Amino acid sequence: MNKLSTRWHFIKLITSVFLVSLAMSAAADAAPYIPQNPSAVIETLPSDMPAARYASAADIGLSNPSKGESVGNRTEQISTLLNRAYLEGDPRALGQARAILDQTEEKDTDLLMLEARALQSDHQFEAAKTVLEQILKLEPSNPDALLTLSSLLLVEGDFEQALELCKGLNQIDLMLYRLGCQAGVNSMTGSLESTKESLAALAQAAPTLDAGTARWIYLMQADAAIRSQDAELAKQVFTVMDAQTVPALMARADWLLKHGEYARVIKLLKGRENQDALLLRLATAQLASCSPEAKTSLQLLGERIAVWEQRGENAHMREQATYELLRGHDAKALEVARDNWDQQRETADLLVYATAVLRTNSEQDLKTINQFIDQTGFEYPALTAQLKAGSIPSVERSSC
Amino acid sequence: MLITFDWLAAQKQFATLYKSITYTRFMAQLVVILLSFFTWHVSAQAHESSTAYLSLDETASNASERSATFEIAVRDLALLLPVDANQDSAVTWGEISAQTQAIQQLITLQIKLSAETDCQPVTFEPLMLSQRAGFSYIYQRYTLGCAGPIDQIDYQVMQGVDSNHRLIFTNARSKSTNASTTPIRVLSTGISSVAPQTWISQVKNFAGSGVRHLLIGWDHLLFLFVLLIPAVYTRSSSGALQPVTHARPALIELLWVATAFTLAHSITLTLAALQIISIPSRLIEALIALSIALAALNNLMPVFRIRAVFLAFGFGLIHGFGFANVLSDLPIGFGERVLALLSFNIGIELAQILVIVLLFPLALLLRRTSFYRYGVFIGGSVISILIALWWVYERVWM
Repeated sequence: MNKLSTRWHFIKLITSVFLVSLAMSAAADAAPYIPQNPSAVIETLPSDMPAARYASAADIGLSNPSKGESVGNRTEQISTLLNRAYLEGDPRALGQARAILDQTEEKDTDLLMLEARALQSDHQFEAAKTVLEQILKLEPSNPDALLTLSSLLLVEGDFEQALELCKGLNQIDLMLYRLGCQAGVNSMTGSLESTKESLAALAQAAPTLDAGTARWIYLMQADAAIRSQDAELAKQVFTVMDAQTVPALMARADWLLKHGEYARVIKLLKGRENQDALLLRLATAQLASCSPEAKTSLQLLGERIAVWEQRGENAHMREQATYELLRGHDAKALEVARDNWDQQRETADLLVYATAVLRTNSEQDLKTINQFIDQTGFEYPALTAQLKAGSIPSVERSSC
Repeated sequence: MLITFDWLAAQKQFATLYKSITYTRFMAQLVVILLSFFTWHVSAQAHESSTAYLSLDETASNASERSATFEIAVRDLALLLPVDANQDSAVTWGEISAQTQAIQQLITLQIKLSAETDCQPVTFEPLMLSQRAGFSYIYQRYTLGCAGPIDQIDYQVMQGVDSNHRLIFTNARSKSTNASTTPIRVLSTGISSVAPQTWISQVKNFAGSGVRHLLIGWDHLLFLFVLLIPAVYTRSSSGALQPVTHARPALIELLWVATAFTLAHSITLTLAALQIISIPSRLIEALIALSIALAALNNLMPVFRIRAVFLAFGFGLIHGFGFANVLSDLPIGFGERVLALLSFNIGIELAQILVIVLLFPLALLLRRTSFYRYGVFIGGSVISILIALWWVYERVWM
């Protein structure tokens, strides 16, 4: 009887712990509030924010007024929005561009091209390819379509076809784009060193080119610098490349992170927390340098990843896989990294996949990776060595 | 070498509740290495698209009314209403408040919910501000007059403005209809069906998941096996094994062991599935394997001088974290998560009872035979130790 009583008290105790933990969880939601100061700034909008759809409450009941924009205006609007989405890491701009496209029934080649870019940015690769092929049927030598389709196939790992499309850029005034296009493919297929030489030649001309083309060349150089651990090249690139746009900041931060310059990363990215790609890097630097602010940054990141998961989006699988690895959820990380690998095959995708594979000892997936490297001649000496060694080593350990 | 900070996973849903845990520097270093390989020139960057939230809950006072909460990002609202009146790009609370009537009109005309008849907003509470993932959201709570369960929503906010806009919709339990919380639904603009699932179907789903998880998880089954095989023996003071003389006390002891295991894993499963505590799965998987090896070793030579029921409880705490992987990532709300947890636990318990019902009579029948003593009890324990140690090696070093 005594034994029974002891057990009963024991069960009551642990049941209480269980219920208390539930109650604590329920009480933990953040509360909304009414700001006391009407002058308090609660959001900063982009400077080129379009006018609001409704001027007042009375307008909301009306059907949408036709704005009477010409196709030319729409093209310009969409192009501006897509550029903002890419350069400022603003996803809403992408959604807004797609909304204008959705409302446009008849699309000329320019609008189709923008539609393909929007689809590509949204990771709808198959739909983007269909649109690009449609453009190339109409205009077989359309340089934008050739270059975009090539870059899309490059992301998907179809290097042979990607290179073939580069050859379509055969007019003399497109030579720079042809060389850049080929460099992008060659850097992934066993010609990293010669690619660096080609890119160096293109970079000589970059200051005379438009900002977008120059950035495209610099970013390829930065990628090559990281993969070949070429500090001299990195110095050259980061001297000339801008330090405002999101892709350029990502490249700079990645180089600095790789070389342990966490304080510089924090200085570079402080105040850019609204852009998730930059927040990820900022949090990494803060974490690695034991900054107490890492907690806040990681919290934000976790909350945003939760929204991606709720929305069921597949455009962030690389980041999601990394996040799962960070949480120590290796099996989930492998699952996401594998799905991501089926969709896109850039260096970062390979690395996150390889890390998940090595953490879970999945021989089948390791075989997949090795086959890819053997077949393509993909070069990243450090990564290849780590794969052979069977682990992705960490850098020197220190305490916080 | 370790650094300490509040655990990220717990912060996702319970922003003010932190649990400090240790986190290896290795993780930070891993990110550094991963990020260093990221390229920037082709694919879209990681981002968060336009998202609004609508949550419904039945009010306590009146069954025909529901309280509703709509949240929309200030960035999105600015595309619909002139919330930046002075056009200085800085939106103040005063500018937002001036648009209260328009916001309420937007909700009334562009979020139409239908039950047996159309639902209508009855009263609006004062406008508030909330924060989601670091962005400012307008938070409007209101009462909705609605007869019967809501089964359809016509959502037009952001229609034609942002094609990637989504509404995350939750509908809390309706007592009058015996329907449970729906899972979170992600809706595009337009008309969507949001008929609630019954709580019975949810319980069935998660209980089934619990049964499957235990039966296909070799490590949990092996653990149950090593706990079960000594149940038909008692140990004398000299340590010698004696077959039990009566089945009933042995069965009761075994049920206590199973119950202790269930209660223990329920605690850690809850803590992990509610994302209050998160521990790297590699560590947990290795500890689970180690617990099997130790429990099996304890069969051969008593290492733990405690009753089996306490041993099962201690090891059950570790196994709970292993079970949690199934639930922790589900995109569901708190109420559903609790229901899922309870149902999942019921499923695990049912599967355990099934295993006991199948194996215990056999063990009882064979307890006096050399086959059981040497083949099943001693041999089974030795094999379990070897398998578990291999798992430990595999999960830690491979």
